[in-house]
Amino acid sequence: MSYRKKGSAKAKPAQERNRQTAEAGERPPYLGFGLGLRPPHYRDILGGNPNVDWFEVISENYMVAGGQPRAMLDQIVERYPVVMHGVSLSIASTAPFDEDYLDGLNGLAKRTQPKWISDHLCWTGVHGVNLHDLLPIPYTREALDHVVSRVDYVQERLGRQLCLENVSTYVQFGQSEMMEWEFIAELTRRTGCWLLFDVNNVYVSAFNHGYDARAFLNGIPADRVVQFHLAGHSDMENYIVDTHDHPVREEVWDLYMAALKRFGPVSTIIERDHDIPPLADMVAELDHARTLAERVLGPSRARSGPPSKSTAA
Amino acid sequence: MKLKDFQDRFQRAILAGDDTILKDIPDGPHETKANLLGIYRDAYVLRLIDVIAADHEVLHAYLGDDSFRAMARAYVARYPSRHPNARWFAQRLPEFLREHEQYSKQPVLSELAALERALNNAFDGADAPVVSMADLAALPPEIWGGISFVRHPTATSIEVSSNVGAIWTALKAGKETPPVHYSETVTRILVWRHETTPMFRECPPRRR
Repeated sequence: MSYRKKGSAKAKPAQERNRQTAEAGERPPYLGFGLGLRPPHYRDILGGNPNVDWFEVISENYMVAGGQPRAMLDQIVERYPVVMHGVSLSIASTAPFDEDYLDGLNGLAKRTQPKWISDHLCWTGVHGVNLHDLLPIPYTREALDHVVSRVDYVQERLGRQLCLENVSTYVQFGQSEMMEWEFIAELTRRTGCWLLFDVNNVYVSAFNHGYDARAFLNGIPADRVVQFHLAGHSDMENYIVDTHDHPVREEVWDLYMAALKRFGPVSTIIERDHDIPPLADMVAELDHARTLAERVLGPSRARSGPPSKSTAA
Repeated sequence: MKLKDFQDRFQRAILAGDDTILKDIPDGPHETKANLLGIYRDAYVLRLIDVIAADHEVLHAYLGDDSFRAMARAYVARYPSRHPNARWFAQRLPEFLREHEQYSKQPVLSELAALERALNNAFDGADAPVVSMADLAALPPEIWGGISFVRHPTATSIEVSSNVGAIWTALKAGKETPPVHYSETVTRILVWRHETTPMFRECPPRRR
């Protein structure tokens, strides 16, 4: 099945549809300081009352028939606001969408009622193969048009705005016609998608490609960012790899503070995927994020978020 | 170059070691383009080896780390993932081991993988109510002749020729692995989920 609904595209000019999508959704609520939900922490989360405001769940981990993963998720959802974060949407792929995957996302969303659904600005494979990696694209006008049409389709399919994250990249392409942040800014302008600003990924990519992370930061439209990711990386001297196996590095905390200055209060999580420490350590790291946010924004804004319609309601 | 051609070329660079894409990649400020592309190539294999390891803790322990990783690397090369969820990536491992020239010489490897696959599938298989003794006791005696049972969706069975159950149990408990022995007759192992825990049991041989 083609990802493009040809009939509806003919019925309405693409620009008009994009504008409608862009205006369709209210900004999601401010959730405060959360963590990526990881199975080793289930027991301590449900058995204690950790100082965590919300959880981001990896969608694919719960796109299974039943058993412990779904049972745990149901209990988390009862107690905490949850956001779904996927790794396999492959929004920038030239392969047709996996419609079963989109059905699975919709089914999980129905069950968990996430505050928003996110994935990455990347592709994961073509020709029916999934490389299970977040692969880079050349930032061309052709790629932009392509991704815009795909975001448009997914937003219609999910009945809500998508939130897209910048990924860590290790190579650039000669044919790119714009910088990554220009691509992202144009993408959100044309589709109305929200942005997940991964502070660590910006740091990693900026080092690997030799540009200024602050230029990236300043190129992103401030009113579109609804979530921050913080994570650790591995410094290999000549390049940096986004490994999520360390605490957040000092340089990334600095960039986080710069991001707070530019974007204001934004729902934040820390991700950890390898060498996962006890929950208490993650909560302590999250407390550090809170402290920095209070320092930059003042305690009241860091706690309650931006003065918007959605948070006041 | 069109995005479609670019993605085709990039994927071939990762899966088949094709270097054509390097023409389109500039060197980085601190590292050569070949090494930067190598990050994707290495990460692809290592990530999928980790996926297989996460689902096959006991087979990993049985083979030891080096042998396990060599085996997993061969699987990654043989069966690129075709599912958006990495959860299903290693589903063909028992068949791979059974058919592989080298690994097929030790049928216990395929049988360990089959047992772990069945347990994994029971772990996150569909939920359904289970008949309890109290449910059965509440049935009026006159209907017993006409009732039949439906298996729980997580209940499956595998057939093995080795003492794989004993080997799995010892490795899981961190105890010394009993020597492998193969039997002339096939043993059936029942696998199911009790609440959230996957379970298995060897069935007694059927009477002829």
